[in-house]
Amino acid sequence: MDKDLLLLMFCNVVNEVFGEDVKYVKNKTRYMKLFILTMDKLGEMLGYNEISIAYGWYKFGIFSFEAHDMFSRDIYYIDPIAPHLKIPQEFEDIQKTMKHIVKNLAGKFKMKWDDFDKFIHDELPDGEIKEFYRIVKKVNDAFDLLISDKITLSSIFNLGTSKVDALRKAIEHLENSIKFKYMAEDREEALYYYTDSLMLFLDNYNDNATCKEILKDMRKVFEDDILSIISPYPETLRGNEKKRKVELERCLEVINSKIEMLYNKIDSIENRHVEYFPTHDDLVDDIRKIEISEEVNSRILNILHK
Amino acid sequence: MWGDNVDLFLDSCIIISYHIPCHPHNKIVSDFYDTHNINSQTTCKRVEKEVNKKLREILEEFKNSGELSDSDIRKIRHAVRKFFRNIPVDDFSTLNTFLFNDLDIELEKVMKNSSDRAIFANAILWNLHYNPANPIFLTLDKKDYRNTWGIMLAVTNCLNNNGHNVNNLKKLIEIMIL
Repeated sequence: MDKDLLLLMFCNVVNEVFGEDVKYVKNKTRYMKLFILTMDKLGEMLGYNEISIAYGWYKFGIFSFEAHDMFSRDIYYIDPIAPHLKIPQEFEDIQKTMKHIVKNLAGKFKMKWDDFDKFIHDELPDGEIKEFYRIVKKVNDAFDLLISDKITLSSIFNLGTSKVDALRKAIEHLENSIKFKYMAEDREEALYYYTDSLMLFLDNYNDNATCKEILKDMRKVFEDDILSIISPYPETLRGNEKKRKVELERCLEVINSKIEMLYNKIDSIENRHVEYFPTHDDLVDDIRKIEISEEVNSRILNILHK
Repeated sequence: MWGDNVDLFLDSCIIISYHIPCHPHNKIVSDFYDTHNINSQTTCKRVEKEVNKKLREILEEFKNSGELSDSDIRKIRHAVRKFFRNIPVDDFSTLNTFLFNDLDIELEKVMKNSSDRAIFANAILWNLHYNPANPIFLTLDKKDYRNTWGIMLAVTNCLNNNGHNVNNLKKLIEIMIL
């Protein structure tokens, strides 16, 4: 079905169902997510190839690059929407179905931010995806706790070490939970470049202003770059088959450019704060001091000579 | 013997050995770095890929052994990545695909391993294109580079046959086996 027509029907339905409450949903994020969820339900009923859109689980819940573009255009916020388009009679049944779907979803979309956030990241996804958002939240919370100046009971008794450990644990949890199908090696290496840098920094962590600045930079890289790289978007794409291919290609392009940015950003943070990050020479010196048993040594030599 | 200010093209075993606590290889490579003045160093994408693959296996082995701390494993992995970030890494075969393929065919007579041939052919194209003052192909691979004389003869023949005057090079690459 034509994309513009679907959109027109959707926007009409939203106005009708929400009435005066339409303000709750008319921000880009919610509008886009409601559109995708409606199309997903519609696809379930009519067959996914009948809807001209594909979507997956990205940084902040359900997402579609194409839908994101569509809702970045002002036209869909203005009433009446696209007045030059008329909905043909034969689509009235579909519009009715759509209305039914939107009605069922409306309550969730009128919720306050925290509840809406919980709905998107915790209620909607299942299994591994839900776990992914939980782990990401754990990392973000651990960052916040360490960055904030709030004095907690644990910070008094443990002089902040437990907060550092919380971040360490969250990062380890993240590393252990990631499974990539597309660009697996590049994405994994990029993730490790970030986590190794962060963890080695945490070994030198002090509760001072510079370290908090570094943490803030690292948290920003996590949100701006790491999340784009590790989100299970390519792995969870659903919807129209042709559009899935387009979305996949577009996402992999974004991942590629984010990986490059990530490496540059980490290098730049490390180079700005050499007192807190080991240089290559430091690392090589430390590596030489590591002792290993004969047994492991011979197994390593076997790998080397393979 | 090798003089100072060497321009290195690194084989994968060098990069791996330099970054793992595995005597005697680590010591040999470290000593080389400590005693030489390095003017430049580079390697090819193929080596980077090979190193990454071996590194995964080695780190897995270290992890399973329980002998290394989490921090030690991170240090090794981060050191290798930072090493690659600090040197130019290129696919030199794209500089002249025809010559690259020809070198591969010519080298087949003296080198069995196809991956080694591809890496060495990359080194030859690097030398030909950048013409560094003191180009050295650095490797630990005694087995495949045993017949140095035969390898260099194959390269010289191939370059001559392709109209490259070897005399125009500051130096034909030297194979240095640590």
